[in-house]
Amino acid sequence: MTRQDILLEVSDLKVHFPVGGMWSKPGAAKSVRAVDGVNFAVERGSALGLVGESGCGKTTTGMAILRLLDTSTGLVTFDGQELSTLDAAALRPYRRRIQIIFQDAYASLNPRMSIGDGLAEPLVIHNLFHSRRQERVRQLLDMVGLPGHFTHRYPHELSGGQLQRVTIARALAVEPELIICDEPVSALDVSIQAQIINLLKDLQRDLGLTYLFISHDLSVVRNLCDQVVVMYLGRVTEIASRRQLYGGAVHPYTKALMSAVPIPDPDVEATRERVILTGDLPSPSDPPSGCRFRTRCPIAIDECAEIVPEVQEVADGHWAACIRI
Amino acid sequence: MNVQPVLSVRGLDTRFATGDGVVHAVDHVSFDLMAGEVLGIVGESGSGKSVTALSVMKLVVCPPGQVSAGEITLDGEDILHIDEAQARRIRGSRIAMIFQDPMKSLNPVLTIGRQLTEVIAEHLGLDSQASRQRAIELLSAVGIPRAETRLGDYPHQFSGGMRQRVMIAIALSCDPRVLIADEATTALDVTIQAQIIDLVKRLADERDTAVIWISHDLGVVAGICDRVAVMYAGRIVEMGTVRDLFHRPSHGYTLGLLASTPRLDDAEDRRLQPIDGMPPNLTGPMSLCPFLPRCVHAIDTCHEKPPEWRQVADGHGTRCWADLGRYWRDGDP
Repeated sequence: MTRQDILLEVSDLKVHFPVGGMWSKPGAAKSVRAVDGVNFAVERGSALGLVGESGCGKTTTGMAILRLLDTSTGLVTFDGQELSTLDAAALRPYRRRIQIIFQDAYASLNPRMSIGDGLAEPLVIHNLFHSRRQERVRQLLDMVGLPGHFTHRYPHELSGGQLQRVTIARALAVEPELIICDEPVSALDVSIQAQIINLLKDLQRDLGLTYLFISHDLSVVRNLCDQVVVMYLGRVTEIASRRQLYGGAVHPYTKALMSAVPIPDPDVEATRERVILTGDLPSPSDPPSGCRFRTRCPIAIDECAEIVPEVQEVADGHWAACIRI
Repeated sequence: MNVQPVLSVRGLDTRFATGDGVVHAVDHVSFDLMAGEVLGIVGESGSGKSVTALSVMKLVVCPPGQVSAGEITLDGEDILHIDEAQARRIRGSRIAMIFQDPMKSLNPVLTIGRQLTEVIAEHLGLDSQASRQRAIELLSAVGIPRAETRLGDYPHQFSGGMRQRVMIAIALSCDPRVLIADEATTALDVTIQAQIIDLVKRLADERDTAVIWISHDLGVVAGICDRVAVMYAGRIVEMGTVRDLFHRPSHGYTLGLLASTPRLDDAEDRRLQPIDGMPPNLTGPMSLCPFLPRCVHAIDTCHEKPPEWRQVADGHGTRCWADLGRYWRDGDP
């Protein structure tokens, strides 16, 4: 990967939320280290999956990249430009080039705005397609496989899958280069989920889009992403290409996670080896010392409590943070 | 072998009166459940999975809902045409149910111990000392560490996985004949889901409890169930052993579900085959197969008459005219 190929680079990203809210003593409060030193790079035109369980910091990472959170430190470099130093006006063009879609499509649309108006809004904000906005809206609906007459409909009239198509169309409206997809198919039934996955793949192929795909579903990520970053409690545990990760994950957490993903085949389910993790996720406000996974890790040793594992390259393009490998 | 089913459902119809007409949420559903068996019910939103379960529990709110036809028997005893007082004695003691969101099922202002002993005292009539002892045993059985001290904790002090364990402990407190789990692991992370599945399997095995496992997740169903019923538009469209269903799917919808599900062990370039269109509106009668508008395997017969239940193999039936044998995996099911 040469520098030019990298569209987005995140280095040492940290997002710490103070706990205790408005009544806590300034400076005295503990903080939840939702994201604690995350590094990765997304190649132009590729899809990078950001996976992990609840509380691992994947969504927070997505928000921090867009600078939707003010509590972050570290560098976010988009197309060679460092975003954290930009003021609001300078950031605006980048907000056009990076778009985001969420899990709950209904909640991300204005219930009082028709689909057509909703799709035209980003064009108004970014001052694009002046005289051709209606035409652009129809074109967008067509791109996501919805009929043109949907421009007069309202969000409550649409099904979950159709709503997600609308939010994808809205993200596409301003011709972005990177789309952050935060669990976009998690709330959908499997037959509809497959429609949306295929749509995202087709759009990527046709428009040369880059995706940062945030998901808890390793099967979906396998279908869509070229590269995968696995997170646990705010830290990266493993980074690998799809083939490397699904063919030979090395981090004990990734292995346990993979073995817990159900496979729709009773014979496979009956015979596969499963690493059942004991215990629950520790609290992110009081994470374990050393390696954060050690309290549930089947191969943890005493040193794991003392040494914070660095992300090391284990093979070409394959990194993991564990002192036991 | 002449074993009586624990639970038997025959021709169950459940309808809801809505502003848009009468919704046939459950349409002529029949199945048997044997002791120690895990029966999966799969299907997408609105297919009638949950309403089937609620009908069995006599929890369909009337109006607008109504179980309009059918028979439900528990150990040969009619449990559909009984009054509310009788239903209350069965619910929680002989049939128990757990739901997707344990936080909504637990009372946030009562301790876990209080909520557990309440059920035990109500149904088993034990005194407070004995109830407490039983509560501790149950919490330990579902894998909650330091059960004795945790009895005094409130629901918010437990994690999601632990709360679901508490729900399972409450459900099992009276050693029910039937446990109904409605999307019980859907809200949990996969590593926690694996723990809960393990637990339910073990309990079904050890206590001979019959389980109805309702889920939209084919992977989970493949791992936990002995038999599976696939529901679509309020009907059971296919039913068989878990291996028959996954290896010899015999309904266009089952095949469609499998083709649209991404798998962890997929080939890298697999393109998913979504089911086009949307489920039908369930108001009004349906003369043909409800899946017909979305089915890519339909044959001429499908356009002429409604599908009848037919046996594909022993214990494997479908409501589909098409012969889908060419999609089966080689080898014995």
